[in-house]
Amino acid sequence: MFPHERSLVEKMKDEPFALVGVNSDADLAAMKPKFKEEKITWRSFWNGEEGTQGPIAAAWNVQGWPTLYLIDHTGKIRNKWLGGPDEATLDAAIAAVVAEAKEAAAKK
Amino acid sequence: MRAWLITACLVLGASPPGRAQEDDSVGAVRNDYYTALSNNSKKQPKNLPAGVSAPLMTETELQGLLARLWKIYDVSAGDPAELDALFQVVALSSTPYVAPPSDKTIEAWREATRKIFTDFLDDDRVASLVMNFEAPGKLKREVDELTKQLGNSKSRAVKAAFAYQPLAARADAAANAPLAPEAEAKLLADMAAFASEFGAAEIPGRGTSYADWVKNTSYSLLNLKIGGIAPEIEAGDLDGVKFKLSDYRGKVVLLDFWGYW
Repeated sequence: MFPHERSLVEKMKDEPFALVGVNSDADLAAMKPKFKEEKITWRSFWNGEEGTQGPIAAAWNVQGWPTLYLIDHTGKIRNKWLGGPDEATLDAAIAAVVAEAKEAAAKK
Repeated sequence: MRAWLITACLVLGASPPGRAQEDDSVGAVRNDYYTALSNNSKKQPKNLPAGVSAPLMTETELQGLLARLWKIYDVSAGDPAELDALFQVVALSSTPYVAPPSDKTIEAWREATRKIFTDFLDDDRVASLVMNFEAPGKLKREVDELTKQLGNSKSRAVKAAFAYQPLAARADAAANAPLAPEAEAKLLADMAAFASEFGAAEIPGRGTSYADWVKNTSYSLLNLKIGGIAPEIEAGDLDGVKFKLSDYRGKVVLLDFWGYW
């Protein structure tokens, strides 16, 4: 998943789009060097010391990792995927919602 | 001598010949099933057209495993292994890895289900069958007919699993395609009624209760539905600096629950 996320962040850097993570690693200090290696540059909430059992994953009823939610510019959930969707599906879904966001911004 | 023979067989990767039935078990048959699948997948013939693979289980291997299960069944009257053996006949005769299933396999499935439904219908353990009722090939209609009979079970565990199945299917469908308000209210009410009747029971094989399932699923249906406003998140980032999901209003957000572990 990480290589695609990296390319997504790069490709969309001038678009009204953000990749926001919720990291569920319990031992954050031990993992941080790995994140650097993997060039995980996007911002993430930390799910806390309980790892996958932490409060954010619980509030979002996350049953498996990765889980992805696509949220539009108005804050509405537009799509969700348990397990990584294939890259073409994900990219197309994002592109459609980003186009809406740009249209809304142009109308203002 | 016996120990030596078994060791030799393990080293050579073969089943001990003439394994005495008294030390055979349902678990051993199951292990041998997975071992055979794994071994056969490693020795796929080359030159097969793309998308085609050789069956992972031969008819002979499958019949051998089924025969062992019937022997266990025969010597286990009154013992938990009796029903376990029948469950395992149902599971193995439904294997997708011998295609198409032979008449013999279909007959084994029918015989095992007939015995389960006549001798064990009121047994709590049948609930696990309800959760995962498989059949070889095109026997879906027979499965549906049998499933209806599960509604007559006197076991609370079976009744709970029987009521859970269609509810879970509705909830799954609703998660992917949001319901109209009345249909959503009806589903939530049905789930609440189910929880008040069976909530305390454990979902077979899951380690959580039906009440937990209803609580989590209702919450998701209400608060995490497609088209609904995403719940706020306010927490620290990986350096402990607080931020909010709503800080991104105006932008599209791909919220990614990830972990490195």
